[in-house]
Amino acid sequence: MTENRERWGPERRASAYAELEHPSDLFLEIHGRDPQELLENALFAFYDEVSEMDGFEPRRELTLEAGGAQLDDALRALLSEALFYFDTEGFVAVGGTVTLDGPDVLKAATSAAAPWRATARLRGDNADRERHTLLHEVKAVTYHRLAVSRVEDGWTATVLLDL
Amino acid sequence: METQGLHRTGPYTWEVPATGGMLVPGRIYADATLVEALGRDGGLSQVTNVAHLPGILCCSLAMPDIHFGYGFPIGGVTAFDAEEGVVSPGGVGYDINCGVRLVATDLELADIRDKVKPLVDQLFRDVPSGVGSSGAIDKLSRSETKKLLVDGAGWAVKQGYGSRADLEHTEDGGALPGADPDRVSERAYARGQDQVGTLGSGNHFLELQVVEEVFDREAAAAFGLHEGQITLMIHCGSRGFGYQVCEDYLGTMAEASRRYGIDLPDRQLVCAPVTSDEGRSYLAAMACAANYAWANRQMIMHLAEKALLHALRIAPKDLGLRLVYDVAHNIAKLETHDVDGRPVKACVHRKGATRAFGPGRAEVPADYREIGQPVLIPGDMGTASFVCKGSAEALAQTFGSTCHGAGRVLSRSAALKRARGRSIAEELAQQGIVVRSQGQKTLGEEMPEAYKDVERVVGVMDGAGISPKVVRLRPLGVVKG
Repeated sequence: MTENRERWGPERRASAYAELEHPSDLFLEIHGRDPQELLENALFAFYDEVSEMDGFEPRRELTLEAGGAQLDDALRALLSEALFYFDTEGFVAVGGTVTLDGPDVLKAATSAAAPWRATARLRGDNADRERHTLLHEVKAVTYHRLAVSRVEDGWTATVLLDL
Repeated sequence: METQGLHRTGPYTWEVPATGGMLVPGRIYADATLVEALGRDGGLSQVTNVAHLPGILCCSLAMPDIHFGYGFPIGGVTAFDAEEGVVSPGGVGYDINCGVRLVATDLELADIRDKVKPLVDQLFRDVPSGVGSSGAIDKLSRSETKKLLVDGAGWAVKQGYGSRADLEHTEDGGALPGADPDRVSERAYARGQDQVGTLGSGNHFLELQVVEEVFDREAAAAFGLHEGQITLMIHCGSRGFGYQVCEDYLGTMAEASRRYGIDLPDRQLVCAPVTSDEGRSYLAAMACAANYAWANRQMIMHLAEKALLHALRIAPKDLGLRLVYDVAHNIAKLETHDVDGRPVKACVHRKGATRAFGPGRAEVPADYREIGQPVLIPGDMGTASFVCKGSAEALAQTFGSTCHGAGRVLSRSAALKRARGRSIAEELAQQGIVVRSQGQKTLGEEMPEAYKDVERVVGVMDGAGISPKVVRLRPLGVVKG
């Protein structure tokens, strides 16, 4: 498998996610053609909401690992990992790929009995407030209206970031 | 009068009758205008959900600034019997001990009228703010951090940030008892290690104000406030440390809720008996986060004092900085309250709600005890903030609690849409308010229109006799994160 070196940019926004109305927090609806792309777009959405990604260069790599009994749990766990490294190291990704471990990804996504793991290999940099613009301080990735479902043209998820 | 299934029970009170699995009714403080907005964001259904939880006393309470929160509504007050009830991280919120500190000075408006911009610029330079703000002090060792988590604002005073007198005017003396640093995860230590003395982002702020109007001269005098006086208000909390404590214990409580067979109408209400290992552990970790927040506000006050002294080139005695009071508005505490004529030990959850203890309570500082505690209610950055006072009525009706602010009325995205093509900073400047912000989006998201009318919110609790108004503070200069 060849590694995807695509750099994330604003042009990805329209196909990756939309911000839904919420009185105080960031409520996101994420899309993907398959579960891997769904998680990749969830990470893109997170970094797009917390930073101006344009100003970052892919200077370092970071691997995030997360798991869950269902795809929604794993998505939340993966974003929580991203939040932890953003909060403690200022890491912002500008590209990367997600792989899912499991014998049958599609079954695992809908079966409560099939725990699985996601690995995100990310490229980006640590924020320097002199050079980079940060937008939102996220307190947590919540369970509120957390959901993943299969739709006609792929997969969709909703997740709320508490600000 | 009835609206949205609410029965009006008084000029400022509405009741949701206990139905289905509700163990107690809901009671909402609002006027006819504020009550109309209640059902729109789901906050009202959260009031009824909370009423299902075991050991809840009296009623599920909502203040007039109620809006939708994580499980429990923001602007909610819930008291559980300390022996038979539960404690829930969702009833406190992610930003544990987010709170407000009001600092008085000996300066008058005439002293700084032409210096507001340089003062705000200096505060903006000297108090770290914005997303990921850090580095107010050198990184603390683990053993020093543990001391901070136990001693709270007292730790900061020992390091030279302020004086012992400040602790007298801080809720709980600036340190909640029972803090156990061993109940805190490595991740919480990591998220909090470099953030003490920083403002953060979002709705947190540092504000230079003038006392614009005095409503209660006796109370104002007791609090050391008079018309035309310059004050400083600090609004922030426990930063990444507190967020992570909440996150960690939501997981713990999810398992505990199953183990103890607690029937939850919403899984975000996860909780455990107050007396259980999980309940005690959460309270011990939450106390650490609360103490972190008090140390944080104590240090910010000190940094702000240095900034003002530098910008004005005056001596500390001429600035006359002194702490009026510091209140928590996201916290759970064990308190004794009269319930049906008998004293009951309760675990009172205030989430977006301020303690408002009236005269005579031992928890109120000695020099305020005849008046009642100061209650600090920040508004939006273009309108006003209020100092109110606690009351016997609050102790009788709301477990000694009141509102905490204006409460959002517009989503962040809706606020940004309204701000498009406008300069919020320029609009505020035309009102005589200087504003500085690290975040590009922050000013749009936090624009005055995004919030309820704070005058109306405070007016409800004043009218209900819960927290009578003492003074109104008008913003002169604002530092936003």
